[in-house]
Amino acid sequence: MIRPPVPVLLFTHAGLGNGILEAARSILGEIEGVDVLVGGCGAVEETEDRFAAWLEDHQGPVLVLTDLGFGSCCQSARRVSRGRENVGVIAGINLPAFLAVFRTGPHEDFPALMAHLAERARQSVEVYRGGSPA
Amino acid sequence: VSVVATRVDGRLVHGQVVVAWVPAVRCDRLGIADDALAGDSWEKDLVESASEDTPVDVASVAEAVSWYREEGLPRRFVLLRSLASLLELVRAGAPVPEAVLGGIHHRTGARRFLAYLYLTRADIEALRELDRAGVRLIARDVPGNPAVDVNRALAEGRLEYDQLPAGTS
Repeated sequence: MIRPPVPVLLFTHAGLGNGILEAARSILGEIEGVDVLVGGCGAVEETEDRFAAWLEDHQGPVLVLTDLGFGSCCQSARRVSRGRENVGVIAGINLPAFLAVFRTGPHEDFPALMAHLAERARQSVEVYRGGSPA
Repeated sequence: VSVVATRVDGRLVHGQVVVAWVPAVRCDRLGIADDALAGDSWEKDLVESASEDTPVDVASVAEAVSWYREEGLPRRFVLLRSLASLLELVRAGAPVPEAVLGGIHHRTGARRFLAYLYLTRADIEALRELDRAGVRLIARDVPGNPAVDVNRALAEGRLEYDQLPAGTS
Protein backbone atom coordinates (compact mmCIF):
# COMPACT_ATOMS: atom_id res chain seq x y z
CA MET A 1 0.00 0.00 0.00
CA ILE A 2 1.32 3.42 -0.94
CA ARG A 3 0.18 6.84 0.26
CA PRO A 4 0.84 10.37 -1.00
CA PRO A 5 2.63 12.77 1.36
CA VAL A 6 -0.62 14.72 1.82
CA PRO A 7 -4.25 13.82 1.02
CA VAL A 8 -4.96 14.15 -2.68
CA LEU A 9 -8.18 14.82 -4.57
CA LEU A 10 -8.36 14.21 -8.30
CA PHE A 11 -11.01 16.76 -9.30
CA THR A 12 -11.56 16.24 -13.01
CA HIS A 13 -14.03 15.99 -15.85
CA ALA A 14 -15.86 12.72 -16.51
CA GLY A 15 -13.76 9.57 -16.03
CA LEU A 16 -10.33 11.17 -16.15
CA GLY A 17 -9.64 11.11 -12.41
CA ASN A 18 -10.66 7.49 -11.99
CA GLY A 19 -8.72 6.60 -15.13
CA ILE A 20 -5.55 8.23 -13.82
CA LEU A 21 -5.99 6.52 -10.46
CA GLU A 22 -6.60 3.13 -12.09
CA ALA A 23 -3.55 3.55 -14.33
CA ALA A 24 -1.43 4.56 -11.35
CA ARG A 25 -2.60 1.48 -9.42
CA SER A 26 -1.53 -0.71 -12.31
CA ILE A 27 1.96 0.77 -11.93
CA LEU A 28 2.32 1.32 -8.19
CA GLY A 29 -0.04 -1.22 -6.69
CA GLU A 30 -2.75 -0.37 -4.17
CA ILE A 31 -3.02 3.33 -3.36
CA GLU A 32 -4.75 4.99 -0.45
CA GLY A 33 -5.14 8.62 0.50
CA VAL A 34 -6.47 9.63 -2.91
CA ASP A 35 -10.10 10.46 -3.67
CA VAL A 36 -11.82 11.35 -6.92
CA LEU A 37 -14.44 14.02 -7.52
CA VAL A 38 -16.10 14.32 -10.91
CA GLY A 39 -16.96 17.83 -12.03
CA GLY A 40 -17.81 19.54 -15.28
CA CYS A 41 -21.32 18.12 -15.31
CA GLY A 42 -24.41 18.79 -13.26
CA ALA A 43 -24.97 21.84 -11.12
CA VAL A 44 -21.85 23.77 -10.14
CA GLU A 45 -23.28 24.40 -6.68
CA GLU A 46 -23.73 20.67 -6.01
CA THR A 47 -20.18 19.93 -7.13
CA GLU A 48 -18.80 22.73 -5.00
CA ASP A 49 -20.77 21.48 -1.99
CA ARG A 50 -19.20 18.03 -2.42
CA PHE A 51 -15.76 19.58 -2.72
CA ALA A 52 -16.32 21.72 0.38
CA ALA A 53 -17.38 18.59 2.28
CA TRP A 54 -14.19 16.82 1.19
CA LEU A 55 -12.13 19.76 2.43
CA GLU A 56 -13.94 19.63 5.76
CA ASP A 57 -12.98 15.97 6.08
CA HIS A 58 -9.34 16.67 5.32
CA GLN A 59 -7.81 19.29 7.55
CA GLY A 60 -4.21 20.30 7.05
CA PRO A 61 -2.37 20.54 3.74
CA VAL A 62 -4.17 18.88 0.86
CA LEU A 63 -3.49 18.67 -2.83
CA VAL A 64 -6.20 19.10 -5.44
CA LEU A 65 -5.25 17.96 -8.92
CA THR A 66 -7.47 19.20 -11.74
CA ASP A 67 -7.37 18.90 -15.50
CA LEU A 68 -8.14 22.08 -17.43
CA GLY A 69 -6.89 25.28 -15.88
CA PHE A 70 -9.75 27.10 -17.57
CA GLY A 71 -12.31 24.40 -16.79
CA SER A 72 -15.08 24.44 -14.27
CA CYS A 73 -13.38 21.90 -11.97
CA CYS A 74 -10.38 24.16 -11.51
CA GLN A 75 -12.56 27.24 -11.13
CA SER A 76 -14.64 25.48 -8.48
CA ALA A 77 -11.53 24.28 -6.66
CA ARG A 78 -10.14 27.80 -6.62
CA ARG A 79 -13.43 29.37 -5.60
CA VAL A 80 -14.09 27.00 -2.69
CA SER A 81 -10.50 27.07 -1.44
CA ARG A 82 -10.24 30.83 -1.64
CA GLY A 83 -8.12 32.12 1.26
CA ARG A 84 -7.12 28.63 2.44
CA GLU A 85 -3.35 28.53 2.10
CA ASN A 86 -3.15 24.85 2.99
CA VAL A 87 -5.14 23.84 -0.08
CA GLY A 88 -2.96 23.49 -3.15
CA VAL A 89 -4.59 23.32 -6.57
CA ILE A 90 -2.55 22.17 -9.55
CA ALA A 91 -4.18 22.23 -13.00
CA GLY A 92 -3.01 20.30 -16.03
CA ILE A 93 -2.74 16.94 -14.32
CA ASN A 94 -1.56 13.92 -16.27
CA LEU A 95 -0.36 10.47 -15.33
CA PRO A 96 3.35 11.35 -15.03
CA ALA A 97 2.52 14.27 -12.77
CA PHE A 98 0.25 12.12 -10.63
CA LEU A 99 2.89 9.43 -10.27
CA ALA A 100 5.35 12.12 -9.21
CA VAL A 101 3.21 12.74 -6.12
CA PHE A 102 4.32 9.34 -4.84
CA ARG A 103 7.93 9.71 -5.88
CA THR A 104 8.62 13.02 -4.27
CA GLY A 105 11.19 13.21 -1.54
CA PRO A 106 10.87 15.20 1.67
CA HIS A 107 10.19 18.90 1.18
CA GLU A 108 10.70 21.78 3.52
CA ASP A 109 7.10 22.84 3.35
CA PHE A 110 3.88 22.56 1.43
CA PRO A 111 4.65 25.35 -1.08
CA ALA A 112 7.93 23.60 -1.94
CA LEU A 113 6.05 20.36 -2.54
CA MET A 114 3.58 22.16 -4.80
CA ALA A 115 6.36 23.81 -6.77
CA HIS A 116 8.15 20.49 -7.19
CA LEU A 117 5.03 18.74 -8.48
CA ALA A 118 4.18 21.54 -10.86
CA GLU A 119 7.68 21.39 -12.28
CA ARG A 120 7.46 17.61 -12.68
CA ALA A 121 4.17 18.06 -14.53
CA ARG A 122 5.73 20.56 -16.92
CA GLN A 123 8.74 18.35 -17.52
CA SER A 124 6.61 15.30 -18.21
CA VAL A 125 5.68 16.42 -21.71
CA GLU A 126 8.20 15.03 -24.18
CA VAL A 127 8.21 15.07 -27.96
CA TYR A 128 9.59 12.41 -30.28
CA ARG A 129 9.75 12.34 -34.03
CA GLY A 130 10.59 9.23 -35.99
CA GLY A 131 11.15 7.52 -32.68
CA SER A 132 13.84 9.94 -31.53
CA PRO A 133 13.67 13.06 -29.37
CA ALA A 134 12.57 15.96 -31.56
CA VAL B 1 -23.87 44.32 -34.65
CA SER B 2 -20.60 43.11 -33.23
CA VAL B 3 -22.20 40.41 -31.08
CA VAL B 4 -21.67 37.17 -32.99
CA ALA B 5 -23.41 34.84 -30.55
CA THR B 6 -25.30 34.85 -27.27
CA ARG B 7 -25.22 31.86 -24.95
CA VAL B 8 -26.89 31.03 -21.65
CA ASP B 9 -24.62 28.77 -19.62
CA GLY B 10 -24.60 28.46 -15.85
CA ARG B 11 -20.84 28.03 -15.79
CA LEU B 12 -20.16 31.04 -18.00
CA VAL B 13 -16.51 30.50 -19.04
CA HIS B 14 -15.43 26.85 -18.88
CA GLY B 15 -14.00 24.03 -20.97
CA GLN B 16 -16.78 23.70 -23.55
CA VAL B 17 -16.83 27.44 -24.08
CA VAL B 18 -13.07 27.94 -24.35
CA VAL B 19 -12.25 24.84 -26.39
CA ALA B 20 -15.34 24.42 -28.54
CA TRP B 21 -17.48 27.55 -28.72
CA VAL B 22 -14.86 30.28 -29.01
CA PRO B 23 -13.32 28.80 -32.19
CA ALA B 24 -16.76 27.91 -33.58
CA VAL B 25 -18.16 31.44 -33.33
CA ARG B 26 -14.79 33.02 -34.21
CA CYS B 27 -15.03 35.73 -31.59
CA ASP B 28 -12.37 38.26 -30.59
CA ARG B 29 -13.71 38.86 -27.11
CA LEU B 30 -15.97 37.29 -24.55
CA GLY B 31 -18.60 39.49 -23.00
CA ILE B 32 -20.07 38.32 -19.72
CA ALA B 33 -23.32 39.97 -18.77
CA ASP B 34 -23.79 39.18 -15.11
CA ASP B 35 -24.67 41.51 -12.27
CA ALA B 36 -23.03 39.41 -9.55
CA LEU B 37 -19.78 38.97 -11.45
CA ALA B 38 -19.61 42.64 -12.39
CA GLY B 39 -19.59 43.50 -8.69
CA ASP B 40 -17.03 40.95 -7.51
CA SER B 41 -13.43 41.63 -8.49
CA TRP B 42 -12.13 38.26 -7.23
CA GLU B 43 -14.65 36.29 -9.29
CA LYS B 44 -13.97 38.58 -12.21
CA ASP B 45 -10.25 37.78 -12.03
CA LEU B 46 -11.07 34.07 -11.80
CA VAL B 47 -13.15 34.17 -14.98
CA GLU B 48 -10.59 36.28 -16.81
CA SER B 49 -7.86 33.78 -15.95
CA ALA B 50 -10.06 30.97 -17.30
CA SER B 51 -10.53 32.44 -20.75
CA GLU B 52 -7.05 31.61 -22.03
CA ASP B 53 -6.16 33.98 -24.87
CA THR B 54 -9.57 35.50 -25.40
CA PRO B 55 -10.02 38.86 -23.65
CA VAL B 56 -13.04 39.14 -21.38
CA ASP B 57 -15.32 42.06 -20.71
CA VAL B 58 -17.61 41.86 -17.71
CA ALA B 59 -20.65 44.09 -17.37
CA SER B 60 -23.97 44.18 -15.63
CA VAL B 61 -26.88 42.98 -17.74
CA ALA B 62 -28.10 46.55 -18.14
CA GLU B 63 -24.66 47.73 -19.29
CA ALA B 64 -24.37 44.82 -21.72
CA VAL B 65 -27.23 46.16 -23.82
CA SER B 66 -24.72 48.56 -25.40
CA TRP B 67 -22.73 45.61 -26.82
CA TYR B 68 -25.71 44.83 -29.07
CA ARG B 69 -25.67 48.37 -30.44
CA GLU B 70 -22.00 48.31 -31.43
CA GLU B 71 -21.12 47.94 -35.08
CA GLY B 72 -18.17 46.08 -36.58
CA LEU B 73 -15.35 44.85 -34.40
CA PRO B 74 -14.76 43.32 -31.94
CA ARG B 75 -16.61 40.11 -32.64
CA ARG B 76 -18.09 39.56 -29.22
CA PHE B 77 -19.48 36.31 -27.79
CA VAL B 78 -21.90 37.17 -25.00
CA LEU B 79 -22.40 34.77 -22.09
CA LEU B 80 -25.20 34.91 -19.53
CA ARG B 81 -25.68 32.74 -16.46
CA SER B 82 -29.46 32.28 -16.63
CA LEU B 83 -32.59 32.62 -18.68
CA ALA B 84 -33.70 35.33 -16.26
CA SER B 85 -30.62 37.35 -17.26
CA LEU B 86 -31.34 36.80 -20.96
CA LEU B 87 -34.90 37.97 -20.48
CA GLU B 88 -33.67 41.02 -18.55
CA LEU B 89 -31.28 41.80 -21.41
CA VAL B 90 -34.06 41.61 -23.99
CA ARG B 91 -36.47 43.59 -21.84
CA ALA B 92 -33.80 46.27 -21.49
CA GLY B 93 -33.80 46.68 -25.25
CA ALA B 94 -30.95 44.50 -26.51
CA PRO B 95 -31.74 43.28 -30.02
CA VAL B 96 -30.92 39.60 -29.51
CA PRO B 97 -31.80 37.68 -32.67
CA GLU B 98 -30.77 34.27 -31.39
CA ALA B 99 -29.64 32.65 -28.16
CA VAL B 100 -28.02 29.29 -27.60
CA LEU B 101 -29.01 27.51 -24.40
CA GLY B 102 -26.65 25.00 -22.85
CA GLY B 103 -25.32 24.03 -19.47
CA ILE B 104 -28.40 24.99 -17.47
CA HIS B 105 -28.15 22.26 -14.91
CA HIS B 106 -30.36 20.81 -12.25
CA ARG B 107 -31.29 22.86 -9.23
CA THR B 108 -34.26 22.88 -6.90
CA GLY B 109 -37.53 22.93 -8.81
CA ALA B 110 -35.94 22.33 -12.21
CA ARG B 111 -37.16 19.60 -14.54
CA ARG B 112 -35.31 17.84 -17.30
CA PHE B 113 -35.84 18.90 -20.90
CA LEU B 114 -32.44 17.78 -22.14
CA ALA B 115 -29.43 16.29 -20.38
CA TYR B 116 -27.86 19.74 -20.24
CA LEU B 117 -31.05 21.78 -19.92
CA TYR B 118 -33.10 21.71 -16.72
CA LEU B 119 -35.90 24.23 -16.51
CA THR B 120 -37.93 25.68 -13.68
CA ARG B 121 -41.46 26.94 -14.16
CA ALA B 122 -40.02 30.48 -14.22
CA ASP B 123 -37.48 29.44 -16.88
CA ILE B 124 -40.27 28.21 -19.14
CA GLU B 125 -42.21 31.42 -18.65
CA ALA B 126 -39.04 33.31 -19.59
CA LEU B 127 -38.69 31.17 -22.72
CA ARG B 128 -42.27 31.94 -23.70
CA GLU B 129 -41.67 35.67 -23.35
CA LEU B 130 -38.41 35.45 -25.30
CA ASP B 131 -40.22 33.48 -28.00
CA ARG B 132 -42.92 36.16 -28.19
CA ALA B 133 -40.18 38.79 -28.42
CA GLY B 134 -38.88 37.08 -31.54
CA VAL B 135 -35.70 35.57 -30.14
CA ARG B 136 -34.68 32.37 -31.90
CA LEU B 137 -33.96 29.88 -29.14
CA ILE B 138 -31.63 26.96 -29.75
CA ALA B 139 -30.52 24.35 -27.25
CA ARG B 140 -27.05 23.00 -27.91
CA ASP B 141 -24.34 22.01 -25.46
CA VAL B 142 -21.40 21.99 -27.86
CA PRO B 143 -21.13 23.02 -31.52
CA GLY B 144 -20.52 19.46 -32.67
CA ASN B 145 -23.81 18.18 -31.27
CA PRO B 146 -27.24 18.64 -32.88
CA ALA B 147 -29.24 21.75 -32.10
CA VAL B 148 -32.72 21.52 -30.63
CA ASP B 149 -35.29 24.06 -31.77
CA VAL B 150 -36.73 25.43 -28.54
CA ASN B 151 -39.23 27.76 -30.22
CA ARG B 152 -40.68 24.73 -31.97
CA ALA B 153 -40.76 22.74 -28.76
CA LEU B 154 -42.76 25.56 -27.18
CA ALA B 155 -45.14 25.72 -30.15
CA GLU B 156 -45.67 21.98 -30.09
CA GLY B 157 -46.40 21.89 -26.37
CA ARG B 158 -43.31 19.87 -25.51
CA LEU B 159 -42.17 22.38 -22.93
CA GLU B 160 -44.96 22.13 -20.41
CA TYR B 161 -43.45 22.17 -16.93
CA ASP B 162 -45.93 19.68 -15.50
CA GLN B 163 -45.17 17.19 -18.24
CA LEU B 164 -41.39 17.32 -17.98
CA PRO B 165 -39.75 14.61 -15.93
CA ALA B 166 -38.30 15.49 -12.58
CA GLY B 167 -34.76 14.31 -12.13
CA THR B 168 -31.30 15.11 -11.04
CA SER B 169 -28.38 16.04 -13.18
